[in-house]
Parts: sequence; structure tokens; C-alpha cells
Amino acid sequence: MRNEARDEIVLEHEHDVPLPDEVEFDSLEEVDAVVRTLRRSALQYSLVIVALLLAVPVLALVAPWWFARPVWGGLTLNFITVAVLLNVTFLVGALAYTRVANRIEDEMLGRLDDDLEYRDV
Amino acid sequence: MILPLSVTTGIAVSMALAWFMELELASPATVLVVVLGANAGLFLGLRGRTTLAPARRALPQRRMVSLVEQTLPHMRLGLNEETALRTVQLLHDVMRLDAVAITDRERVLAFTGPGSDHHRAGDEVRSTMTRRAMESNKILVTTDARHLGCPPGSNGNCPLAGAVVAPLLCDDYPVGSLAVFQTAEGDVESSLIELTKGLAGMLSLQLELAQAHRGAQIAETAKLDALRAQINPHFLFNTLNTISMKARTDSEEARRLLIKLSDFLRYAMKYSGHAAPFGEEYFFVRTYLFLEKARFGDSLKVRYDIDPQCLSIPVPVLTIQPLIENAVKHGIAQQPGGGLIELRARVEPIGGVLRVRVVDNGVGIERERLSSLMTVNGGEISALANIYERLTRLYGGRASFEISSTPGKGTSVSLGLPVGINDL
Amino acid sequence: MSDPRALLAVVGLVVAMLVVSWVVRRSTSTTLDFYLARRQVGPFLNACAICGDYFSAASFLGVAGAVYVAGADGIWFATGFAAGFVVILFFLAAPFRRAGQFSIPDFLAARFASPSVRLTAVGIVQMIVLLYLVPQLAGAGLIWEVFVGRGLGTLSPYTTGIVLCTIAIVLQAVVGGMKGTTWNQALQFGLKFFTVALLGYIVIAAGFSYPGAVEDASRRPLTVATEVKREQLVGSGGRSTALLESARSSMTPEGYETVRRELAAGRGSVDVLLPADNRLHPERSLRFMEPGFRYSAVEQIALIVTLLLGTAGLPHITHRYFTSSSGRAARASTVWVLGLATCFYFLAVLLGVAARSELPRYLPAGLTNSDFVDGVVRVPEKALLFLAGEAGGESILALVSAAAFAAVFSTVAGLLIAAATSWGHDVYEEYINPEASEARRVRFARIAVSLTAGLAAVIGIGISVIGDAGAPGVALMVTWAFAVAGSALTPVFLAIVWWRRTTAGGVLAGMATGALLSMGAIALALLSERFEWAGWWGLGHFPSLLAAPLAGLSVVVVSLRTTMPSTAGSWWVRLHGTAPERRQALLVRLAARGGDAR
Repeated sequence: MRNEARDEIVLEHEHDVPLPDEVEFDSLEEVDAVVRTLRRSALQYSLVIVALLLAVPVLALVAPWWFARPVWGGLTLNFITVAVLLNVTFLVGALAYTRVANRIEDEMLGRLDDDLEYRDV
Repeated sequence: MILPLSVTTGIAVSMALAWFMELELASPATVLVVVLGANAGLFLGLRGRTTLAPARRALPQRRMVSLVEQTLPHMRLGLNEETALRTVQLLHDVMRLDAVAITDRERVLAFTGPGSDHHRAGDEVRSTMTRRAMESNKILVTTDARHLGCPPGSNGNCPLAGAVVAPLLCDDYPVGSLAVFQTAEGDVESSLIELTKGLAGMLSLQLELAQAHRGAQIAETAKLDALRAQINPHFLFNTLNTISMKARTDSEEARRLLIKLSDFLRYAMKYSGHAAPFGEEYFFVRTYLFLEKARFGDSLKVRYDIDPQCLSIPVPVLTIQPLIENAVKHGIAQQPGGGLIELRARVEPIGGVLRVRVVDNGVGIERERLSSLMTVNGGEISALANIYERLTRLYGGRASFEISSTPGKGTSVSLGLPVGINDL
Repeated sequence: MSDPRALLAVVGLVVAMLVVSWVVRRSTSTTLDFYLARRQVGPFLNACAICGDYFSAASFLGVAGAVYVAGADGIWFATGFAAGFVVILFFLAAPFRRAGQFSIPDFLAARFASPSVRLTAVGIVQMIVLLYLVPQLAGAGLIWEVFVGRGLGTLSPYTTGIVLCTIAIVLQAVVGGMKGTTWNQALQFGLKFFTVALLGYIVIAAGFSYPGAVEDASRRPLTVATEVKREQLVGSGGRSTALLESARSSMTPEGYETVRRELAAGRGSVDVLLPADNRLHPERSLRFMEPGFRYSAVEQIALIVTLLLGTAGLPHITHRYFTSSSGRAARASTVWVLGLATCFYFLAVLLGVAARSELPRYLPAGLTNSDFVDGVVRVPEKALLFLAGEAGGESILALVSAAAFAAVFSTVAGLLIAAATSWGHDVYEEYINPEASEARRVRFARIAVSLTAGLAAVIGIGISVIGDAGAPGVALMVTWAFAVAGSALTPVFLAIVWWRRTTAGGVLAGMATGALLSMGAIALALLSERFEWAGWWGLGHFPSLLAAPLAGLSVVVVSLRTTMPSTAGSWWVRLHGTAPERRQALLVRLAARGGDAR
């Protein structure tokens, strides 16, 4: 009967599905590659952040329009930046980097998202 | 829809009027006013249907464009029952037509709208008018129910009252027809005729495009099939050998190799267009090299150096792995101590180029052989020539392909693929 | 301000903490549970807990106090505290979790099976914990002074605060273990955040405008409360006259009147307000809105670098990364932390500004007493508390006191767990008794916690005995912990995670260099308050600018000269591979599919 045949097929599939340990693993070369790529990305992002971060005290040293001239009430550019803008920058940088890092890991490690049951596509 | 609305409005207005004139509710005067109001509403509603209808059917530019976009994916696949069904449904919904049908030369492919109980897909084309439209390549109109193609014996029950039929042409040859019906009695509005003409023209154009595309596809498929046939056999045999040997000593490794092999084959078989993101090609390369490493052991060393921006850039399918395979077979395998293969990918900001380099420190290629590599010579070297040819065709000459090699020291193959080409 | 309501609020808080700890008690019987809250913590909750740990008395009172006293310069503490998490996110968040360890020494030892590495790490961790604990307990003492004002028996209020605080924390940590602490941390963070938000709202509703307030505060040169000896003011010579004149122009007429009265009454020293020196631009007079109160240019940059690198080496923070449910979750947590920190520090800085500009409005003109000099708060950390009391009334004061204690409790709890884990796991389980049963180990951990807390309390009390003249602010003391962490641990972490060639020898060299340089520098800085010669190297209290790179360099140099361990490959895959996470996802999909197939 047709139904019986289908049940048999279902059973066969249950045997055939491999264990996650056999299916998902990382080789050293792949991990090496990811590390290289992630490291480069992280360094680029942190260079930008550190540059911004260090620019502020440098400006505070040399530029009166930065630290001494109020632009809004008593708030100078220096004040606003240190109190708010820098933190916001961190947050934005963090969000951007998280997205990049996750994507790099997704694309450079593991398999392409595929069906486990090797059906005829 | 419009009739009940108009009648209700008529009654409401007349009741308001009655109240305003301070008539008593149950008096004959009130009843008279209400009845008059209902009649007025009915009359206006009937008129409204015909005046509004052409407005509904007017062709705003936007809707037409969206219609083209929406039907194209279906018509691209050719004229069959499924694509016809999707298309008539789209036309029916977007243009708010009463009923729509598409036929090929012999049969009705799809029908949607009132009357679908006896106008069915798969029926023979009964309407002589439709046949004549196809044969004489003319647009025909009728308000005679007998020409609508209803099966014999059901004429009286069909809700359809009129139709416009236009032929669908491919290369000026009629391959089917588009029929647009109306349920309203009376003349067919000229706007409906124009609409049908326009729609038929649009569908015909799409069918022609599909034809041309298929032709090109067939050619490309043939080439890719040839390429794929070149990729697999020896590699497959060797890998299966390796796996069967490992199965004795390290069964976990053997199972992993089998999974990787199946990943490899699945990617190679997957044909989904001309281009894939570089990340997927990289996946193919690392799967391949994992398998080769099992065979060569420590004598094959592998290094990847990939810029994060490269991963989503589209590159032609199956262009990177053959380069790697070449490096393995002709560079490293020939060298007694083995060697290192490196895949580097960078995006060059100036010029917007994705530069992919395959570098190995194997035996190298003699100068004389280098020049003959680019010609189709037979043997596996032509894999490189094939890639070169595909790059030229796909990028129109804007891509670059360089090989440099020093015998005894190594080889370097470098591809320069422009970024931002939309339609590979 | 010894209000019974404040007392009640604090007691209520402690009781709540204990109740929560008791409720989650059941799940703390195994060591893993105790230490790692069963790795079930979700990213947002983890982020709240991290914030609870991190926003200590330094963040809560210290930042506001720093802004109050220093103006623009003070804000850097807030920004610097947040910046450290960016470093963690970029380089350490995911790898820490994937390494799968209990503690920092564990983490290092998993890579190099070397006892000296592990024990050195334990030593450094304990040092950092101590350096971080002391200012917290000092803060607790200060708060008790303000709110309760009474001591137990013969103990001073300051000491009483420390003692009671320590007892409460030990109880909570011991009973609840790590999990109790996680929920408590998150709740206490919620309380802190709510409090600053509420206080901010009150202050704004009372007419505070940020730009306006800064303008007000900057109208006249920034003044500092200083104690000056009589001889410097009275006596012949242009100097004393100039000083007196300077004081007079800086103070209100009423305040100056008090000074004159005291001098006339024969007091040996008086408190005056003097204009602050502008360390950055000596030719200008210093205003509230301008930088330059404390730090020269180099010191500014050194401060930033110290805070930036320090966060990644703080044991109670890294501990939370080991608790994340996955590498991805660790990253997500960090992003959340940055978001929360941005909001929190914005409010804290706002309140510091508000304290400077609004507080004088509530006080009688020229108020000089044990807490104030001419309307300026003597101990800047108390500024926030006084603002709460004046602007919001008694109940708000009670709330803020509870939140301030929450800040202390939460951080100290986190620190003690970090310390306990170190003792319990790295010392006891590894070297004293590897065969010990679960229950034994947990008991040892609990004893370890109590002892560590006791030690911290003793030091905290000792600080007050040693002297409070020129006692550095709470925020500054915390920065010492950042300095050691950032110099001794962060460079080593970065090397281990991103450079495969790192060896055990390199790590040891790095830790030693970083620790010695940073601690030495801090000692010098402390001495330089008394002796001029000690301040020669100009980095003040922020040695990381030099110590960290030197530590990094020593890691590299020594690693290159020693052999790489053979386990480097598997470590690398474990640290950076995502296979476990993918397997997890696959299992989930299989389970779902299996349900369907049936």
C-alpha cells in the first residue's frame, strides 16, 4: 500500500539524519581565516574610535573655539562632545561592528544553509 | 456594491427631508417621499455604475508599470497553465476587471471571475470569436452571449455579457489570446477595448523576452555543464578513496569528510544564475581544500586572507575554485615537499575592484607554457581559458586576469573584478 | 540629615536583596551553578547585571561629584567608563564566552597549563579587587555619614556604614551565589537608573536648563574649597594680602564675613574658596565649562587610555562574559550596556552640573559648616545627595540614599564573587584539594567570600584612620584599579586572543611588567602629593599610557623567544570557532523538524 511505503521512507530518513557533531565543525584554517578578517575589521573600527577619542583632548589643548566658546547657553563644543556625542558615537560604532562581526562569522564559518534531508531539489 | 449604497442614501436623504418638513412619520406624505427617495437613489446608482466604470478602468501610469513588474516574473517562464493562472489573477485584481481569460491556440489556460463554473482551464477554445482573433491577428469585440465560449446548454446562466479578445503574439506569430469580459449589459466601453489591447501587447512583449532569454540560457547552461564535467571526476575518485581509507583508522574524520563532500557536490550542482556572492565561492573553496587536505595531509598548507567587504560582492559562479584546484594539481601535487596555497581577497578602493589572488609556492609554470595556457588546448589547462572567456563575456572586458609564475618558486593568478556591476 | 526614613529605605533594600537571594537559593548547590548562574542569562538581563556591577559608587556619586568640582574635566570619567566596553566588544566579548572558563586565571590556565601563570593571575586579580573594593566601602561610609549620621556604639558613622554594608553583602552573596547576584544586580541597576532619572526630572521641573546652568556656573571663575593656614592669610607681605583678596573676590560677602570672623577669633586655619588653577591653559582663568581643572594635556590623554583599557581587565566584568549564553549574546549584551551607559551617564553628568548651579539657590547665602564652605560642598561625592535632599525633599533623599547603597552593594557583590571564584576554584580546586566534593568546594567559596569582604572592610576603615586630608575622590581611587587591570591584564588578553604565537613566558612577562609598572606609578603619584620629586614622570595617577604598551611589548618579545605550545590549534578553534553555537541551532531545528515529522 502506498501509505506503508511512505512510512518506510520516513523511518529511513530518521536513520539518515547525521548528528550535529558530524555536521557542524570548524577546521583550523577556516578559523584562522576568520580571525585574520575579524582582527582587521576590529582594528579598523577601533582606530577610528580611538582617533576620535584622542582628538578631543588635543583640540581642548589647541583650539579656543572648541573649549572656550559657548555655542548653546554655556555649553561649549567640548562639553557637548564629551558629555553626549562621544557616548553616542560609541553606541553607533558598537552596533555597526556587531553587525559586521556576526556577518563575517556567518559567511566564513559553517555550511550554506541547507536542508538536512537530502531531497531532490 | 454601488446600488445598495445609492438606494440607502436615497432613503436616508428623503427621511431627513421629511423630518425637516415636519411630516408625521406614518403619514402617506412621508411614505411617498421615502419611496421617491429610494427610486432616485436607484436611478442615480444605475447611472453611476456606467459613469464610474470608465474612470475605474482608466489607466493610471503607476498601475500599469506595477502591473508590468508583477506579471513579468510569470510570463518570463513561458505560456502555460500555471503562469497564465497567476497572470489572469493579477490582471483581475490590479485592473479590477470583471473576468479575464488567457488561452493558447487550442485550450483555455486560465480563467478568473464570475462564470468560472463553466469557463474552465483545460476546456477547448469554444468561442469562434477567439479563434478568429488569433487567426486574423485582430482585436474583436462582442456583446452577443453566444460568442463568449460558454458550453452548449448553459447560455442563459452565464453572468458574462460582453467581451474583448486580443491575440497574444510571439515574434508576430499568434500563440494565444487574452479575453477580458464584462458583466454589465450594454456596449463595451472603448476604454476597455484600449485596455485589453494594451495588456495583450504587454504580455506579448514579455513572452518574446522569455523566448530570447531561454535561448541565451541554453547556451550558458551548455557551457557550464561542460565546465562542471571538467571539475568533478578525478577529484571525486580521489576523495572517495581517501575517505574509504580514513574510515578504517579515524571514522569520525571519515564522516566529516563525507559531509564536506556532499556540501561540495551540492554547491557544484546548484545552478542558480551566473553570479554568487564571494562568500559562497569562498565556502566552495574551503570545502574543496578541506577535502584535499585530507588527501595530502601536512604537505598541503592553506592560508586565507580575506577582507570583510569582499564577502557580499557578486562574482561569477565557479570561477575561484578552479584556480585553486589548478594550484593544487599543477603546483603543489608535483612538488615533493608539498607547499602552501594562499587565497587573498581585497577590495581596492581606487577603481572599485575586487582583487582575488591565488598564490602558491609550488613548481611554477614555464614561460612557454604560460602563453599557451590561454588557448583552448585540451586537457585541464583549458579550465583557466574558460574562466578567462567567461570573465570577458560577463564583464565586457572590464575584468582583468593575470598569471605570473617563476619555475621552481611558485605561481600567482590574479583576478580583478569590477564591483558594482548589477546584472552579471 | 539623619532621617529615620532613610534608614528604613536602606533596611528595606537589604531585606529585598536577601529575599531574592533566598528565593533562588535552590539552584546554587553545584559549583557550576554557583559560579555561573547556569549560563542561562539572556543578553539584556546580562547587560543589566553588568551595569549593576559596573555602576558603582564611583559612577553614581563619583561622576556627579567629579563634574561638580571640576566642570568639563570631570565628565571624562563618565565617558571613559563607557569607552572601555567598546574595547571589550571589538576584541574580547565573544572569545571570552567561547573559551568556556570560570574565571580569569582559569582562562589563562586553559591556554597554558602553567601553575605560575595561574597563580600570578590570581594575585593580580585579588589586587584589582582590593583596589576597587576600598573606594566602594569608603563611599558606603560617606553615605552613612550623610544619611544616618549615627554610629553603632563607639564606632564612627563612617565605620559603622562600612561594617554593616559588608555584613549585608556577604550574607547575600553567600546565600544566593552567582544567580542571586545576577538578579539582584539587574534590579539594583534598575533602581539606580530610576533614581537618576527621577532626580533629573525633578531638577528639570524645578527650572533647570542644561545650557543655562552651565552658563550660570561659568559666569565667574571656578572655585575650590581649600583649607588655608592662618599665617598665609594674615601677616605682612604682599602674598598674604593677595591671597586674602583672592579669597574675597571668590566668595560671597556673607561667606567672606564668616572667614573674617574666624580669623578674628584666632582660628589656626580657615576654609576659603579660591579660584582653581587652570592646568591646561595657565594663562586663562578656569571656568566651569572649560577643561583644565586637574589635568594637563598628557594627563587627560593618560586618563582616557587608562579607563579605556581598564574595563576589559576588571574581574567582575569579565566574569559576566563567561556567563553569557553564547558568543553572539556576549556581543549583544555589550551593545546593550553601551546603550544603558550612555543614558545613565548623561543623567549623572547632568546632575553634577545641576548640583553646581542649583544647590546654592536652596541654601542660605554664604553657608559655611561641616559640610559646606560658602555654599560649596566640601566632599564632592556628597553633592548629589545634598541636591536630592534640597530639590526633592526627605523622601527623595531616602530614595537616593537607597540607590547609592545599591550602587555600592552591587559592585561589591560582583567583586567578591570574582574574588571568591578565584580563591575557590583556582586555588582550592586546583591545588589544595582536587578531589573535593561539590558541597565542600561551595563551602570553601563561601568562606573565601567572607574573608575577602572582611579584609576589604578593614582596609576601608583603615583609610579613614590614615588620613582624610587630601583623600582622593572615589572616582580617582577606582581609576587605580582600572590602571592595574588595563596594564597587567588587558594587553595579555589581547595577545592571547588575537596572536597565536603568545606563550606562557610572554604572558608572565606581560602581567609582571604591567602590574609592577602600574602599581609603582600609583605609589609614586600618592607620594608626589607630599614630595615633589615623586611626580617626575608626569602621568599622575594614570600609568596605563606607558605601562600597557610596555606590558604588551614584553609579551611579544618574550613570546618570540620561547616556544609555542602545541595546543595552540585546538585553543584557537575553541576561542574563535562558532561550531558549538551552530550545533545548538541545528539541534533546535532538528527537534522542531522531528516534531513535525511525527
